[in-house]
Amino acid sequence: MRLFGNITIKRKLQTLILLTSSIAVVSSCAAFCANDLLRLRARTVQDLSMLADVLGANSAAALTFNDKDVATSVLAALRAKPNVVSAWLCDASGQTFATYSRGTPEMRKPCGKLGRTIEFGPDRLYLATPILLGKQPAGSISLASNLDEFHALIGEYLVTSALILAGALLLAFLGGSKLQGMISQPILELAKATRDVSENKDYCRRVSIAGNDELTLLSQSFNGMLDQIQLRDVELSRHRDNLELQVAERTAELQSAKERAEQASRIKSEFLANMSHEIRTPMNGVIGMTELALDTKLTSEQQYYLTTVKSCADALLTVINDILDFSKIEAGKLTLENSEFDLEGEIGDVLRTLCAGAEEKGIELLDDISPQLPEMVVGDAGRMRQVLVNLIGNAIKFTDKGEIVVRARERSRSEDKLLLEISVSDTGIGIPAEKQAVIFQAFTQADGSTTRRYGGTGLGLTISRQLVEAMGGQISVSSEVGKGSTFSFTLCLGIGRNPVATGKADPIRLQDLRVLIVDDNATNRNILNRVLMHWGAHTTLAADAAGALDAVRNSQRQGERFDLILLDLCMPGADGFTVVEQLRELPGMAKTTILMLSSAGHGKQIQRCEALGIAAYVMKPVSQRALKAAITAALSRVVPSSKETVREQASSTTRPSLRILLVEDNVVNQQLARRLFEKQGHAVRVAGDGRQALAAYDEEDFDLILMDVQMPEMGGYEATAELRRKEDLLHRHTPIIGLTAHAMKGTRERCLEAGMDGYVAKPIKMSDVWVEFDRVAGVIQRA
Amino acid sequence: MHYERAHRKLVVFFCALGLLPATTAHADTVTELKVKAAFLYNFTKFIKWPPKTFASATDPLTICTSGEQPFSGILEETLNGKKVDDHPLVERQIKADADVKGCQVWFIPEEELPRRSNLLAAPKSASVLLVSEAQRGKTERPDAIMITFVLDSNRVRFRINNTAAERAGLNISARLLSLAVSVE
Repeated sequence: MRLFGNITIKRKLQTLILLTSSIAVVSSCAAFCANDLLRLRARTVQDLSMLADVLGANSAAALTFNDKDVATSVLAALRAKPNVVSAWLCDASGQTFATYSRGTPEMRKPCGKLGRTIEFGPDRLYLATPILLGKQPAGSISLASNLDEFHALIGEYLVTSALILAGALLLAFLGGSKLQGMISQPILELAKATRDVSENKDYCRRVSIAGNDELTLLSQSFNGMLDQIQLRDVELSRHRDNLELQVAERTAELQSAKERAEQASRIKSEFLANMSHEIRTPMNGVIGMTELALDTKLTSEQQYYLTTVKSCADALLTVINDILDFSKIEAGKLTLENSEFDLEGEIGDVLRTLCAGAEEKGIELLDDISPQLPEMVVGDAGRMRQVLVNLIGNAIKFTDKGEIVVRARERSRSEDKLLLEISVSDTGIGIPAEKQAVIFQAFTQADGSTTRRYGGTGLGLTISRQLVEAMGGQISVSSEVGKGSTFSFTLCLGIGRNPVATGKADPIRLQDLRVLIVDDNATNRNILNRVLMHWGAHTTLAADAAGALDAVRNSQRQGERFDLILLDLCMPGADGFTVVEQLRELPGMAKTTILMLSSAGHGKQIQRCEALGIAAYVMKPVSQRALKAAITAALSRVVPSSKETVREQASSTTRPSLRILLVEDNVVNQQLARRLFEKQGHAVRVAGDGRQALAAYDEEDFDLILMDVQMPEMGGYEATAELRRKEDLLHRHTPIIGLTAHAMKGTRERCLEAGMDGYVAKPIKMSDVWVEFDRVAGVIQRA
Repeated sequence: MHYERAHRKLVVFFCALGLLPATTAHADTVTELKVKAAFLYNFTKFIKWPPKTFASATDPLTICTSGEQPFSGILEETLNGKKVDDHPLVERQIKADADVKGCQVWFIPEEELPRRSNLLAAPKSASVLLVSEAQRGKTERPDAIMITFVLDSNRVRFRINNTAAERAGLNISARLLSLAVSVE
């Protein structure tokens, strides 16, 4: 086919026609010749054999009577047949009897077997046939014929065939040359048109081919294509003219749309911030005043009403916070802080905030924080708290009895990164497997009825999931209906560089300390056990009073004694106090150091502790650091300073009286806060804005300044900055806690930047204030 | 005798060379008898007897001889086991002329001819092929004899009286006729 690649269609068609016709002619000539030659050959053989038969019959008698003369004369009759060149007569015994030859005799031994044989040589045909007399063979006759006639005929055929072939080819060539034009002409025209179009860009060119075959169709399609191209060409040039104009228009439209969108976004953000402020400020009043009203003398009916108002207001605040958070996250406005914080302290704070709720329902809230975790980590403490509060809040909500354990473990750790895993396990109602997948989606609770029974927006878990994912972690749940649920999340945190000073410089080593742990709750027992063992202490565990007494007696028998007893206050049967009384009666136990762990801090209990010679009274849940501090203090017989004890007594009423400067412009909030603090025995001075605050600071010293951020005249940030400048000269540092209605991003940074030590979101809750104050006090002290 | 032996040696020599057919006869008596016996046999191949001659296709074709054992066993030897068509060939010697009944060929040697001259015209209806020999020194031939052996330059040849054969109802093949020295 390559041969055909370079020649024109015209030549191709001609070649094709010539090739096919010559193949047809040659093959038919060959067939005819072969047929004729075969027939001629058969006829030659037939003629010769007939001749042989006649001659044989005629010479039979001569053979029989051995008459050679007669035989020779019979053979001589062959003179009339010019093609027979030789003949042999053989007798019955195979001897040559008579011969005949025309010209040179054949060098051949003719008398062989008696059967009939036919032999075609290159130029001779040999034929032998037996001669029969009756049934007896009398001899045989052989004839040799030349094939001159045959060959002459073949030559004749070849010449004829060649003539026919030549004639046919000539006709085919002439006919083909005429006919190929029918196909090649239109194609050539099409090709020419295509070349014209592509070279000259002449889209007006058309092809006209008459007829009704595929080529006509092709030319019509070609014309149609040209039509379209021409049309498009025109349109294109029109568009090109228009395009610049359109681009300009679109750009202008886009510009204005962008501006509108940006403005809308800005307005939305502002609206969000305002909403936050506008809703929270009155809520502040509602909640605070309700709390105040609850502390006054009330009839039980009024008490009931107000309690309901309080819980509704709390719920409403939670809902508002959730929705604000959610909309913020949805709007992609979530930005994460990246500052160093005390991991264990933060978790402990959350637990302390929530333990009251757990206490009310009679649930143990336990923490189990791996001692291997670094003390200071880098991340967004506020967001972590939020997730934890959500998960623990849920756990409390859906658990009626049993315990809630908060575990913190490290999943993996590199030089400066930590993958932290925190899990919250409860013994609540659990979540069916088919619901587990959807609970993290917005507005979903495990069951529609759940919402009715337990309340809530259903946004908590969604927000938690989004927060966790934003912090490079994952949240998951495993649960069994009726047995409880475990929510786990991971966080990717940096590892802090400044370890908390305390704990490292322990005056007393906990190494080799013998400790008895008495707690009815197995989980709690194990957590304490593990923590103390991590510190190097030898521990003995007891589940109740009897076990504790047994353990003590056993140790005495072995000549040892416990250095420390950790005792749970609330135990079924004999409570902590009873156990202490019994222990003290044992010989040598009168002065053993005992630490009491309790969930509720009541004045009465603390007094009783002192009476029984209990070294420290520690609130559960207790952080490792607090526990260590308490143990260290107890063992070294050092009375904890007031600032250290407040940590353990966050919500107790035994806080020493403080002088507080309240800087707040809103009159309702002024009154509310003043009442709240004064009720707890603190002295409160109120300043209406930053300037008044600076004036007040000049006049007297304060233990704590609560600074509203948004104020007329001079805002909280400027006032704080001014204050710190003054203090730098005096080498003093008064704790300043910001008060802000903004749950918006960057509030914490701005507060810290301005020189505040911490901040509390409004509406002000006493517990929040004290937790933050304790934290701030701790940090200041350590610093 | 010396001449005879030398001649025989010559014949054997030629036979050995394969240049001469074995049947070639000469004046030698035995050889001549053998050739004549073979001729008698061969004649039967070229002659058709009237259809009534044989009762069945396998009836023997009898060659009868007169005189005192003219072939001295050579004819019997020649005919032994031979058949023409399906007729086995047998030899019979007859003493009296009446015995010729049942013979298809009757060979009458040369010396017997004078004694039977009265006889020879007789069996017109018998369809018997009468074969005899040319008499030495005599040129006349009895009318009834159909085939007569003659010696032509020491070769045995024959004359055919086809008229006599036709009279007797015998059909002699043209091929045989073509070999005869003369045909009447």
